[in-house]
Amino acid sequence: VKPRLKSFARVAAPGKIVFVRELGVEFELDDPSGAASALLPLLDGTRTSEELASELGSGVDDVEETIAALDARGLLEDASAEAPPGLDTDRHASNLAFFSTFASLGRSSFEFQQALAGATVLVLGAGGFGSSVLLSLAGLGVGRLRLVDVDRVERRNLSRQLLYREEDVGRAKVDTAVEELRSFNSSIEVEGVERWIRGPADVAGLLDQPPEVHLWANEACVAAGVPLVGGGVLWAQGILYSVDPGRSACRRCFPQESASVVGGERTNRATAPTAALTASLITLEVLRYLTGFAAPVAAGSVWTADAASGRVSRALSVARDPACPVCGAVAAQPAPPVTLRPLSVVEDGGEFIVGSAETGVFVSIPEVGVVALRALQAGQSVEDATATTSDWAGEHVNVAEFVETLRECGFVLDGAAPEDGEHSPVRAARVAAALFSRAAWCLYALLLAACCVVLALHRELWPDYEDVFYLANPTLSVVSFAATGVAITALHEGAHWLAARAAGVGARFSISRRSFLPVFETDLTKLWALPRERRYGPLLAGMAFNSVLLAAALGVRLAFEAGVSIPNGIVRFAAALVFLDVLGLGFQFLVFLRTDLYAVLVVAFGCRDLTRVNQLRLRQALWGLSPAQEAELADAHPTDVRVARWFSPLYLVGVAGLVYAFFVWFLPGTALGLGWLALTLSHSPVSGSAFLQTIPIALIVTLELAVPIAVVLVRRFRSVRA
Amino acid sequence: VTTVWERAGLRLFALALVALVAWELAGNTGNLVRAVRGTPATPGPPPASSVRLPGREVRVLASPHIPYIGAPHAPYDSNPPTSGPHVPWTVAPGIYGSSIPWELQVHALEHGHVVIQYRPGFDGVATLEGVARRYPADVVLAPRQELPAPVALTAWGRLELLQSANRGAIERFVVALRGRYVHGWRR
Repeated sequence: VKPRLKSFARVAAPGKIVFVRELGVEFELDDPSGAASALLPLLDGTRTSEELASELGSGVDDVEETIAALDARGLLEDASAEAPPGLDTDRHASNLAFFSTFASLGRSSFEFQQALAGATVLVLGAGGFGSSVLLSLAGLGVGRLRLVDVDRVERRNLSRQLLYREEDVGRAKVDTAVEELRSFNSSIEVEGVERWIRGPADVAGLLDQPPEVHLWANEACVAAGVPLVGGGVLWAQGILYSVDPGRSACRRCFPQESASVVGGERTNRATAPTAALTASLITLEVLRYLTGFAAPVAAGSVWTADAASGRVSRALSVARDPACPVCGAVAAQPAPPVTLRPLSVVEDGGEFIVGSAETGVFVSIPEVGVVALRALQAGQSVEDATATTSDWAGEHVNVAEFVETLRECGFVLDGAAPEDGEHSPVRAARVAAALFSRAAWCLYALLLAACCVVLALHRELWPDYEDVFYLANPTLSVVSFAATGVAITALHEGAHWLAARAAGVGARFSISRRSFLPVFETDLTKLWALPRERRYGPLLAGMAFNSVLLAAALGVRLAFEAGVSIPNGIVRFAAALVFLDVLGLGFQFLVFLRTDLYAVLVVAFGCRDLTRVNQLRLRQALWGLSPAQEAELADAHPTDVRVARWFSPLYLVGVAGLVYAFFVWFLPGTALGLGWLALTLSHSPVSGSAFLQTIPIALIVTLELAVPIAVVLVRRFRSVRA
Repeated sequence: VTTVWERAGLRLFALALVALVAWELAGNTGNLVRAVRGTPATPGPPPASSVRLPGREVRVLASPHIPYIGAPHAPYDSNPPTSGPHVPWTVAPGIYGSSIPWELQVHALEHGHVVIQYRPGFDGVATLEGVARRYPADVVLAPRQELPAPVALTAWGRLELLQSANRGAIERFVVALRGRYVHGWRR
């Protein structure tokens, strides 16, 4: 990375530097020591931070801190970023220059342009707005345009429809427009569809008629999870609105009267300038969705551009209607309005260092910020995160403002696809697609069903903890068993990861603890960016892996029983695999521990925060709530309350089962293990093989016990300090 | 959000679960303690059986855990042993290619398994393996040099010596004696 300072105007003031990008857009940087001022002249894109540090004679850490502060304000770009092969930098020079305004060390202007090259936009209607929108999109380099119209070019269109000429009158608009666009930009794909629209299933049509077309497009877009940007011209106003499915209100949520005003005027009064102005507003909003250079401004709202006064402003802002027949179900999902980059959180003297390895920006925030961050990462909306954080802090916390701070730090991916999917090799994606095809899922379900049938019919194949000792040597047994367990868990998580990649989102691994069990986890937070039905695959992929493995192990056991010649060691190892796998699959049914199946349940029922609502309900039933908690429960999302009604008893059964398992398996198992170790280590000669062989087992038992205990203690210690 | 009835129901349900878990745990304590510590005191004699059991009864010895294979312990009183001191870890049922130390196989017997042993070179091994394949959760099959007969079948407190691989007799032994004692007499 070679940071280059963008050529914004600079004003030096005592103790700080003010950068002026344009009128009304300024960035301030505190610089009491003058370190930043000394650094600025060197930021010409020829030096790495190490080289900068050696030139200035200061520490690399100090230089990087200043660079991070500059980058967080959008003042830097990476001069070493290279244009991807195939990108026509000459053609797109001014586009790239525009994007460089919004580029950072973590995201070059090339990446914005690439996002456009990979995008597809469907344009309904190639008339007054369509003409300008299509030309603008082709100029921006949107990779694939599909346009739909059914009209022929008429003389009256020539007042504003810039795609057509006098000699085109009488030709199909689609044919003419496709020809024109291809000759305008031959490097993009343009497809014309000439058809009429009969309902939302045919999502295509004209912008002016039939009158319901906006609602039909809305319905189709919400169902597909694709953003919709629309507009029109009334008497003298251009109109812009957009729908971010699952995040903003949809067209159907708009109040009846505004919908009829926006869509109800029949005389076409669009002139070339009003049509082009409206088309530009529409195209800029499309650009926001496609590149994330800024957050969409018109999501769930109506903007007007007034031809008489020249004013462009938000005229109406609509909240999501939970009862909306189109997006009600989508709205019930906690689609995060804030998609954060993967962030690391490290405690440091009472504060927390939050940072992004991708962008290299790290900032220090108080613990309350971490609480808000965690809530946002868990997929909570800003409102929910505000509630969660305020509840934690005991006073109102302005999370919306916090999100703005995060955005300034470059931690927020505004509408842009998570970037960590980009360098995954195509072959892996293809393999993953085959592994998670419909046919593959049918196979996994069949295998799991077959395993259930086999286990129901063959009591002798049921797993038993003795299967751990599948070798006569206890050390080899325990060590290889533990290693196999870790491998299976890692592969289970790998399956989540692969399926998430196949679905087009990134995922992260971590290790944590549920109750007394240490667990590996894949952070699938980003799945919330997918439509509901595409979330199940990544959530269930781990269990699919377990099912395949279980089927293989049971197959070996069954074949051996039937007389097939298989090495004895492999048969006994298969028993150990059955034990590990049944344990792994069974664990997922402990939904109250927030397992894979809990996630499936939450997705299937559209829950917001089932765990919390369930916790409050049980606390209310068993020993009562504080007034604040009563209020929280009263405010709970109706879906959570409805699901909690049957989830609560299930949760109690689960907890009882876990308590039972703790006393019947975990505690005696641990006592047995510790008793064994104590006996062997205290009674065998220190130089003997028995003593030496016990040491690896002791290490494993210690690790398995120490990890969860350490996690508990560290958390307790932190909460005491806080 | 929750009605009075729901609250009462949840409370009752929670109480019932607590009672159930407590009852289950209380009923299991003895076995749990024996699983952890072995069976140091001499266990009582087996309950009278209404059917004639295969093999002969062998006195059940005090069966504490010993620290490692080769550690000194009170002698067994049969060849192969059917109870007595043993190591804290066990061995899974299955077919093994080399002999299993007595101190380890006794632990498998304590878990209700049947140990079938044969002299290396015995010509009926295929039959023995057939039995082990049919009862994969019950049988530990392994060779052993110093047996008083070509084939020895053991269960907790029970021993049968065979001169040949008589499949009928072996399966009768397995079916009658598997799971009869699991850290305590079951039948």
